[in-house]
Amino acid sequence: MNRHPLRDFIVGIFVLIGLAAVAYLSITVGGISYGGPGGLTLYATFDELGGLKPRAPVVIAGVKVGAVESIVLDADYRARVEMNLNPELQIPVDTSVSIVTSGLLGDRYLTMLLGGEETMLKEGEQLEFTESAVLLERLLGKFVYGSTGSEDDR
Amino acid sequence: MKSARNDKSVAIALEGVNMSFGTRRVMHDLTCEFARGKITVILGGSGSGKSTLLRLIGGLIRPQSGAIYIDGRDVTKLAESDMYDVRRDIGMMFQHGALLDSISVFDNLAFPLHEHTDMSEDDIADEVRDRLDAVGLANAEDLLPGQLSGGMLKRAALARAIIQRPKILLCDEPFSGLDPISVKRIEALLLQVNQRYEMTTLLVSHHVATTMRMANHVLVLKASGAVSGSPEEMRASADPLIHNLLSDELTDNIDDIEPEGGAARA
Amino acid sequence: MIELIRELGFLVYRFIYDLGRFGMFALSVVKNLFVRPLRWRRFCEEIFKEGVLSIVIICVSGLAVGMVLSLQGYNTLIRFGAEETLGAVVGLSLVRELGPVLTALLTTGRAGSATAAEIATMVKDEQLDGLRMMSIDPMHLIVTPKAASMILVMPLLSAMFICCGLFGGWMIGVLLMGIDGGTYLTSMESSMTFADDVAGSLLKSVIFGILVGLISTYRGFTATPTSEGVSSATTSTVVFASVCVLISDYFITALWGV
Repeated sequence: MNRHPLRDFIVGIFVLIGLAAVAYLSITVGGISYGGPGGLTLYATFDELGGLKPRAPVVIAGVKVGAVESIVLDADYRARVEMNLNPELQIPVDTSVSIVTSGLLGDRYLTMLLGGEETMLKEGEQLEFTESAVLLERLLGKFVYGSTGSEDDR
Repeated sequence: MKSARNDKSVAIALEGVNMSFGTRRVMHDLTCEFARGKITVILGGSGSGKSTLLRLIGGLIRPQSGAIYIDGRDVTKLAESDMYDVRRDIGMMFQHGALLDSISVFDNLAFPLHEHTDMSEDDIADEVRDRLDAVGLANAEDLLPGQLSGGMLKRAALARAIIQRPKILLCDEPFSGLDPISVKRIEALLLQVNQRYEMTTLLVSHHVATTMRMANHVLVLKASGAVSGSPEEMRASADPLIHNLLSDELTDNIDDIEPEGGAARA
Repeated sequence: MIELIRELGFLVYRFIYDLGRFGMFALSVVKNLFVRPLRWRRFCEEIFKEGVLSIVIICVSGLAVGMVLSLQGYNTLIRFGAEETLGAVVGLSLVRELGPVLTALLTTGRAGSATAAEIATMVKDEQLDGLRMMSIDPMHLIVTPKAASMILVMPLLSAMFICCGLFGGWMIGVLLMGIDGGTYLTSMESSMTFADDVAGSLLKSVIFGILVGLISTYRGFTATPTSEGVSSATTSTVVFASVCVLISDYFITALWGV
């Protein structure tokens, strides 16, 4: 009810520290910077995701350059993956993208093998060369039964 | 009673008020009135509803039935928000002071002025110091209510109750727990306030001798209803209850002397 | 038998009655938030009492929780050779669960009980009636700033708790157990997103703030005006608020998957 300039000042500092903590969690830990409207959005279509999930990282040469934004089933019943990448990237049109696993049983993520074309992909375009996930169960099945059913590698 | 409601000489009128807490009935069909600008003393045994009566008039509790007219307006029908307007004209001195214990005496008095008036900071300070001077607390303005003695606390409570110059002053046990000197002091203050501002004053007290000395009117609460009259009429009353209540007058001053170290500090 | 049923019926009646009264109380607080004059100064005062004075307990507890989480996590993960995911384990548990919940419980004990005791004492000493007689609504002056500041303070304290916890976890994991600092941070950062984890964590603590703020002020405001009333208001605030926080935590997690 009465004025306490020092107390009000301390309250101000408290709120600032609190907001700084919230900001740290949001930006550094939560990674809010990726996925902003400034990101480069590319699409790729796969036959088999094998457990790839939204938020899975996209890497080039082992360096994280973006993340999977969303996954939908397209008209041909194939998985259409939307990727959100670092906007400064220049990605040639003949770049291929594959679903790989970290370790034997680890999480799925996307890795890009850059092509050699001069033309670069633009915002919202599609990556043509994709490699679906290798399913461990199917591999084992092939090994055990000697099946030669061909896998689509496109 | 209809006439009393519009009578300008009547400040407060109660009509058929019933009040009970749970199954305990405190007030049964009470009808009475209080004269404008006069000091009315409310007497009655323990649990006869004296404090309840003050709280009813202040609107702190609502009766189960009946009407309470303040300046001709039935306040029992008012919403709580409208009640706040009515209370601008009512000051209440609580038995235990009821000052905000986290702020100083000065701030306690200044607070209602900050809230309800456009007075400047300096004007408020002048007004508050003026009041504190009047009740003899000029050197206690920076103390917290918890640091005051009983007598000082009562005086501070009185100062706060009248800071906004209300038309009605309700005092709940203004003399309880005080030494004779403090009683005299508060008595003088109440009389002075009543005369200077013509406040309608209602006193609830067990200190019969003191209050009978001050009273213009006396209201005795009994289980069967209220009896009112002038102090002289009351002294002459044949009613055994009233006689008993007033006979306390003789021992009154002995009760007054309670060990209350605060007086020395004051 | 009849006695028992009657007793039970009375309990149910009391519960519903209390719930209704609590609802009206909450409505009144919300309404009073918008009544002028706005009590900024009181709001600041309450943030000081509820927030600033809780910083030490929150930060120390956060640090300790983060450290023990890291130690336990490391000892478990190393059996599966997955100690490089320690950052994710510590980070996710702190952000999604432990941060908001433990902060709410600690704040209930530290600030909620104090709030209830303060208001209950004011009820007991007729200070609130005194305010009413001065035409000042105690709901507006006393209760609303206390409840509202809790809503702001809770997410801020929770964020501080989490940051201290992350630091404690990092200290144990990286400095003591020798996990590579980069691995630790990458595992933590890549396992969380703002929308799914951090925003949910903040939402949780805001809801806990509303709960603790309302329960503590309600218990104080409706206390019996006796010394026992003050102590029972304080005790029941801690009990009710803690239980409500834990139960609502389950439902928030189940409904929104936070």
